[in-house]
Order: sequence, then structure tokens, then C-alpha cells
Amino acid sequence: MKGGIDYAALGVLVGLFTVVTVMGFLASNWRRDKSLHSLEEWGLGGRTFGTWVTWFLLGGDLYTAYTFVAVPAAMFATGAVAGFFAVPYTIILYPIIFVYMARLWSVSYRHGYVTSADFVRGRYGSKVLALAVAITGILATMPYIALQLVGIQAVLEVVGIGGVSSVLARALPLIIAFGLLAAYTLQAGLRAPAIIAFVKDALIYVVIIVAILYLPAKVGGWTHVFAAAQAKMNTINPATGKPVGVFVPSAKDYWAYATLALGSALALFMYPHSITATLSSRSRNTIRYNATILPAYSFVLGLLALLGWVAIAAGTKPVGLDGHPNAQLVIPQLFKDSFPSWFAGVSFAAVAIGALVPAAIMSIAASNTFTRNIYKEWVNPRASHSDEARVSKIVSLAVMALALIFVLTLDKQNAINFQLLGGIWILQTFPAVVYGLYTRWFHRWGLLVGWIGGMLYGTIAAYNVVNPTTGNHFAGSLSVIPVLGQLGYIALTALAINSLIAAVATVILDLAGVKRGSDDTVKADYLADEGDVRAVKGLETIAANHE
Amino acid sequence: MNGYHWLVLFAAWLGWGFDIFDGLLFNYVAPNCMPTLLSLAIGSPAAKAAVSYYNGVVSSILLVGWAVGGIIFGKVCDKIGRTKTLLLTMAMYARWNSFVRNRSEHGGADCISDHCQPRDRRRMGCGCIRRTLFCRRFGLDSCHLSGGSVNQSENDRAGFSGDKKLLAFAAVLLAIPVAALLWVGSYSSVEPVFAGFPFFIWYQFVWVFLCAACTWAAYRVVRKARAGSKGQPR
Repeated sequence: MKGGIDYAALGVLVGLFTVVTVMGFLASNWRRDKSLHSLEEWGLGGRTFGTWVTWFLLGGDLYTAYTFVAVPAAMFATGAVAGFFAVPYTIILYPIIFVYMARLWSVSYRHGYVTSADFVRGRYGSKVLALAVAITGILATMPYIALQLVGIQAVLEVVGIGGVSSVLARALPLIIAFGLLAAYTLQAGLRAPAIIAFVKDALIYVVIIVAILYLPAKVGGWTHVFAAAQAKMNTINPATGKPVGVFVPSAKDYWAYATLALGSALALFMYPHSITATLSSRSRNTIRYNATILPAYSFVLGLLALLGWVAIAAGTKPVGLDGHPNAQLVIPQLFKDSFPSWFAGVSFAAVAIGALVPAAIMSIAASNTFTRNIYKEWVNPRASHSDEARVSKIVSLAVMALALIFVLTLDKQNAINFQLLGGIWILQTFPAVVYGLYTRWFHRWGLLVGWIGGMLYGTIAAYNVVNPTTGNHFAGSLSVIPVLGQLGYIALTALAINSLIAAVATVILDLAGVKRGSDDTVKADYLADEGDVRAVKGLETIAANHE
Repeated sequence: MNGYHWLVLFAAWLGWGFDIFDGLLFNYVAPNCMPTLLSLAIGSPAAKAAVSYYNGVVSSILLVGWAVGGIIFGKVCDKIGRTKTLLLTMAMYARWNSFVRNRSEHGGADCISDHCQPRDRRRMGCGCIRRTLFCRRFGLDSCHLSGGSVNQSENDRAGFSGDKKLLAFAAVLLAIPVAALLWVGSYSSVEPVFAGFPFFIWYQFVWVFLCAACTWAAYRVVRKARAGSKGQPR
């Protein structure tokens, strides 16, 4: 062990954590005019969040602790293609979601949809297709929650807690943190992360602005930082005979960089947690207006990515408590080396609280999906609103417990592998959801066949990526795109294959006269806005007033 | 000045900006393509001298032509109207491009205008794609399209009617940042370094703001396009 426990940093960390926990418990009374016994209220905050709450919530949701740990770590280890693609990814994300998320909001508002699988069910009249979308969502979300824990672990490890000494010592802080998180999520639903997101984002902004103003000057200025990064990236790796990483992409990396950015941007809003945060907003235009102000986070993410290169110039040595080098620790280690203890504590709190917000939203989203599209659809079709809310609450506990077990018992690498796969898988729901928002040309079984094809291709292609040094599978998300012969993001190739199969199958199924399901939606649903009289919520309110 | 005026100003600024960018691109490619055209070794002193000489000449001609064209076509515009003038300039531009291309076999972007031309000619009589494009881009209310109101009754029945031209304009605004950032080859270089930052890095940071501006403009345009429709609060 090196240095032992940093008590000042730990004190600040625990203090801020306590503040957030209290806020989480108090959140259940925030902006509430009726009980939390429905999924609308518990799982979507009553669809009441305005522009600013949504901004904080989405920002807190999308830019997770894992992002803040992993992006600079990738910059530190292998450079621009693996790390800096996050910047164009989170820039083009907003014009893209601007186009279709407002439509999804409107149709969900009118029909009371809580998940994307709800929409698929209504649009195509297919329980099976909705199940496929729901399962994909849950599978993709689980490792993502687990990775939030990895983020907290990275911080605790640098503070000096949780060495190899005992499993309990390593597990206890995480169990306490997640126990508290589960408790206030259970009580307050989506309102808890919405309130905590304010603290999280404020901390993140303060820490990154201070870091970006202070650190580069300390290590010798930006010119030196970039020179050090360039030198490291151009060093030849003895195991592969190739450069360690990429400083600025060359022609062979263009496809990789562009497809990673585009594929990730298309995938992000297919995740249940992004959809939950979007649907919780008050009006159709909230999400669009947010698309214009959310890039503020992209800017911060870009700065944060550069901190990975600052760490190269600073000579940061990210070594875990087990004595092995671990690039994931680079940002906490950099902060610990360069800041006074108390401010390092603030920065660690930013990462740790940054893990809680998305973890809460993700578990709510996963449990909403389970309740609506598996429990109610397949197990208990007569479930009432309060049944739904109760099941969802229990499932959210189970989801968090599973994530905790996942991280504590399995190798961290598994969580990272699954998250990589999750990104590939979740994009395979894109045709059913997003194409469905615009056209009903695709046949429901065609979409299902396409989904199977995309999932299979994506999984196999990811398995076949082998790390040349360690021989491990799932070593990355890039493989050769068929036909083009360039390295590209597997998820996007799989999406293309998925769409192609779906289109061909649609033509065949229609020729064969296979029945299409019924469509619950009409054209005007896709443009409905706040206060619409035909909204399910409106009907419920009217009914409630008559009681 | 109300919000819409600012929007038009912004759109015009964007158009002008991209035009300038077009001109600047020439300066970037000149050191390579000019010696090639003149059969000089790239990078040799003779090539450098030729590049700076012809660059000066061509840029001057461009600027003078710009100014003269502005005055002449302003007058023409007063006589025959904006739409026809725009068509005329485009036809001239396309003709000239294909002429240059046929002569030198050099041209990537020129092919586009070649492809467009037959279609343009076909439609010229009955509605004209160029005019459509122009109207959509700038949302000019004075251009009324003969075939522009397809599905109008269906939209009215459903209780909304978005202004198709404005929506298309918004789509263009949203497509710009996506296209710019996915074209990685356009910015994957270290030079020009700015305040220590490689071009590759600072260029993408700049796009954070440009993209926010484009998305914001699209937001305003969509609000405008959907404003005033029945039962739709703004």
C-alpha cells in the first residue's frame, strides 16, 4: 500500500456524500401534488420537469462517473481515437436527438408510455418485439450500473480504502453507498436523482474548471502537455510493433473515429435511462431546447478528456492498491498528486456523487422496463397503477443488488466487456423505435429478425476482437466493416445489417401475406404537446378530479 | 428587430460564412493543385513563386467579380425578381463549372452540378427544384410553390400544419454540424496550432459552440414552423 488513507480527502468526501443523501430523502416532497403510487409519479417524476431540471437531470444522467473516469483513462492509455471521439460524439448527439426525441415524447405523452418498449408495443401491436426491445434495454443497462460502482471504487482506492487486505473492507463502503442510494430511490423515485443532479453537476463543473486552469500551468503549459502526449502515443509498443496510441487520427483511423462518434450518438438515447430522463420533461419543446444547451457538458467532457494527456505530462503513475498499473485510476491519482487533500476530496466527491445520479436513473429505468414490458405484459396483465409502482420499486432494489454483486464478485474487466457489448446491443433497438416514429413500413417480424441478426453479428464481431498482448476477447469495439474494408464501430455495422435484414424480411413477409399488428397511434400523436386533452395523463387527472 | 429578423440575419451570416470558407479552401489546396496544373515540382521555389503569383491574381479576380456581380445582379434582380436572378446565376455557375471540367478533367465538386443540371432543366418549367431549395433554405415567404401544399388537407385534419419549407431549413441546420464532425479528414491535423492546442483539438471545441448555435437556430425555426397551428400551444 502506498500512503495509507488520506483522512482529509476522505472527510470531505463523506461530508458531501451525507449532504446528498439527506437531499435524496427530502426529494420525495418536491413538486409533488399526489401520491407516488404510480409509475408516472415514481418513475417519471410526474412528467413535470422543466427546462433547467431536465438539463441537470440529463447532464447528470448521460455524463456518468464512468465516463469521467474512462474517457481520460482512454486518452491516457491509447489516445485520440479511443478517447477524444467522445467529443464529436456528444456534439452530434444533440442535433440527432433533436430530430426524433420530441416525437417520442409526444406519442408517449398521449398514450402514457413509460418505456421505448411500450411505444413499440403500441405501434406494432407485437408483444414479442416489445419484449426484445425491453430485454435489450435491461441487458445493456445492468453493466452500465455496475460501471458506476467501478467509478466509486476507483476513487476509494486512491483515497486508500479497500486494498487487497479483506473483501469486506473493499465491499463495505460500496454496500453502504448503494444501500443509501437504494433507500432514497425507493422513497422518492426519479425526484431523488433530479435533486442530487444539481449538486453533482455543480461539483463537476467546479472541479474541472479548477483543474483545467491550474494543472496545465503546473506541468509546464499546454504546449508541453501536447508534446508529452505526442511522444507517448508515437512510442512503439514492443508487443505489437505498432505505436502505443493515436495523437491525431491518420487516414486509416477516419472511419473508426467517425463511426464511433455516430454509433455512440445514435445508441445513447436508446438506453432506458436516457429515455426515462427525456420522458420526465414537461413539454415537447423541453427536450429540444435542452438539445441547444446540453452541449455545455460536451465542452466540459472535452476538457476532462484532455486531463488524460495532462496526466501524461505530469508523469502520473496510476497504480492500484494491488500493485498493478490501472489506467482507470489516472484521474483520481492526478487529482490526489496535484491538489491539496481537501480539494482532492471535493473532486472525489464529484466522481462518487456523479456515480449515484446515473445509477439511480438507470435502476429506475430498468425496473420501469421490467414492470411494464415483462411483468405487466407476461405475468400479471391486470396489474393496477399502484401494483406497477410497487413492483418497480422492488425491482429497482434487485437491480442495484445485482449490480453490486456483479462488481464485487466478478472481475472488473467483465463489467467493461459487458458495457461494450451493451452499447452494441442497445443500438439494435434503433430500427424498431426510431424508424417506427416515422414510418410503419417495416413489418413487426421483419424488425424482430433484423434485431436477431444485428445482435448476433455484433456479439460475434466483438468476441473476435482479441487483445494482442493479453489474448483476451472483447478487447475493443472496432472491427473491419464488411465491403468497405475499413476499421469501424461494430455497433454501426450491426445496425446496418439489422436494417437491411429488416427491410428484406419486410418485403418477403408482405408478399407472403403475414399479418401485421394493429397500430394504436395516429399521425397527430407524434406532435402532441403539453396540455393536450387527448393525453392519457390528462384523462387521469380529469378522472382524479371527479373522484 | 424581432427574433425572426435575428434568425434571418444568422442564416445569412452562415451562408456568407460558408461562402468565405469556400474561398479559403482554395488557398489551402492551391500549393498542391496549382503546381500540378502548371507541371511544376510541388514545393520547389518556382512552384512557390507561381502559387503566390496566381493566388494573388485569382483572389483579386474573385473579389472584383464579387463586387461587380453584386452590383450587376442587384440591378437584374430589380428588373426580373429574386427567384429568376438566382436561377440565372446558378445556371451560369453550373454551365461554367461543367465547361471547366470538360476542359481540364479536374473536378470533384463540379460533378455535382453536372448531375443536377438535367433534373433542373426538366423541372424548370413547372416548379423548379432550385427555387424550392432556395425557398426552403431561407424560408422566403414571397416564393410560393405551385406544388408546395401536398397533404395540406390531411395535415389540417390532423390538427397541425408545419411549414414544410421552414422544417427543411431546420433539417439543413441540424445536418451541418453532423456532417462537419463526421468528415474527420477535414480536421485531423496538428497545424495550425492555436495557443498550444493542435488544430484537431481546438477545432472540435469550436464546434461545440457552432453546433449549439445551429441547434438553437433550428429550435427557433421549428417553433416558427409549427406556430399558430390549431391546438398547439407555442
